[in-house]
Amino acid sequence: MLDHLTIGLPHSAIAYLDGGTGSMILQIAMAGLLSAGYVIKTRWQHFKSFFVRKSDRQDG
Amino acid sequence: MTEPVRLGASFRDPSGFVFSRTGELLRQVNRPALEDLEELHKSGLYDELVGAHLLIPHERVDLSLAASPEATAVLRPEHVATISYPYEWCFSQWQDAALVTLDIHRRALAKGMALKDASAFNIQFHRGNPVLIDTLSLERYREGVPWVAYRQFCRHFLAPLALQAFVDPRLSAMLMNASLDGIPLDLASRLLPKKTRWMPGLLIHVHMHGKVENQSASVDTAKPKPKLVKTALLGLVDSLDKVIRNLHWEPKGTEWGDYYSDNNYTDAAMAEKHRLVDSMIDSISPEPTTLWDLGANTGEFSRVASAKGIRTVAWDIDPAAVELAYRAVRESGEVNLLPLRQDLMNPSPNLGWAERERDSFLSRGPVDAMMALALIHHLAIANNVPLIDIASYFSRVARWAIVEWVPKEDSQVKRLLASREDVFDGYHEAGFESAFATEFETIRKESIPGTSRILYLVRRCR
Repeated sequence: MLDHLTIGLPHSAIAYLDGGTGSMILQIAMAGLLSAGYVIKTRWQHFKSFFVRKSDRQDG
Repeated sequence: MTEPVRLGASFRDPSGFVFSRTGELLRQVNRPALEDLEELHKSGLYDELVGAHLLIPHERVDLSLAASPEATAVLRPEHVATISYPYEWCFSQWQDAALVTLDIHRRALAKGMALKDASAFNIQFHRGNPVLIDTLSLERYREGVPWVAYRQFCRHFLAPLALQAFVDPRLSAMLMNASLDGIPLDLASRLLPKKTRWMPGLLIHVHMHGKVENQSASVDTAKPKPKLVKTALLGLVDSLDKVIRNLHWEPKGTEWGDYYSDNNYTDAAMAEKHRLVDSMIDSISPEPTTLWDLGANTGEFSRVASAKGIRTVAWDIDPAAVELAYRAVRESGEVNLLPLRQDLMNPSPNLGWAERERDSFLSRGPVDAMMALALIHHLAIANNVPLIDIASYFSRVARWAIVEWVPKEDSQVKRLLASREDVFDGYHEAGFESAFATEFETIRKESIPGTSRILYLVRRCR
């Protein structure tokens, strides 16, 4: 499958490490899922913070 | 000024390298990394990480101390007392090192920076905490770029931890020793039990990752680059953090984990041994600053030394014992005690490129003093090492030694001899004393009341 995939990979002057083509592709493939997961998590935490009791709420 | 000597492990990153000069460890920063270093300070990330004990502090020193002309800055990092390697860590040490790596990357992303590598060898235990020692691993965040260290993180941290949790605690050390750049993900995938394929985190980051790790695609640099938004990177960190936190290993049932609850020491005898060890350490002159406790088990006696402010390492062969020792250190916040795994019959060798990247066990010494309590019979009887060779080896470890003589009448030795022929004619008190007299002078000799054991405080002759 991956043999036919051509992609532009990040190029960096100082990234001496070989990130691995396959690993980069996996990251890109999972990007949508990971991003959604993160956004949902932060929105949920933000939502929960509205229900914190007044006495627990930090000032300012 | 003396000649600088580049460290054997510091050659991969053109940003700079670590070298030693007159016994001092310095880090040279080359041109490409100067802006990253400045951003590290300007962004406040340096202060945040150092304040949270996540990054080794450094001070900037004179450029004239540089090792070569490409230098644009020279740093002097705080000295780490004992260098250790992942294959010497217990499960929790490795897990804490993993979580620290992710925490640093997450905090870096929040301040416009990122970790450009995620090697387990960049984490060292410093005054009780796992810290990042490679300051130049932090670079400015580049918009849209995937995390180049993702694969390294999975090989150095996730795969070894999963193998310890789901297969065997001894496995990762063996594999990491042989496969220095982390455990290959396809191998880890094959070794993990099938049930782990039903766990989303391991499915993605080990099993799927293992399948694509070695595949290559035709890379066309002219094509538009797919961008990875920051939330995806943060989501990746969160995902890895969750998988790592959900890995567990309980030290139960290994040979020595239950040692102290299952031996022939009465409470009174234990208290006496404590008193004697304490007193013998006080007899060492000049006062020792470093001490290695060989066969330290859960570090019960190592603590006698570390409580005095002596930088102490508690070495033991049993992963369960090291795990328990480390949990106790973490709980009590001790800064002078570092528990590590080591098999004295097959200690860590020199490894890596030119056999100079990772240092052998002995070469990380010698130290001022060592202890060998309840150890001698394991070397001499269980492993057939002649007493004279043991004495010779100990003399290479430290100048002073506290050694516990365990005679054949002792129940532990009887247990060792129960299923084998007693070929140890030279194994007796006089034999022990004459063997050690070849290298050491006996300064103190005290019987432990309530036992047949004797404690010796010896000092190397040379």
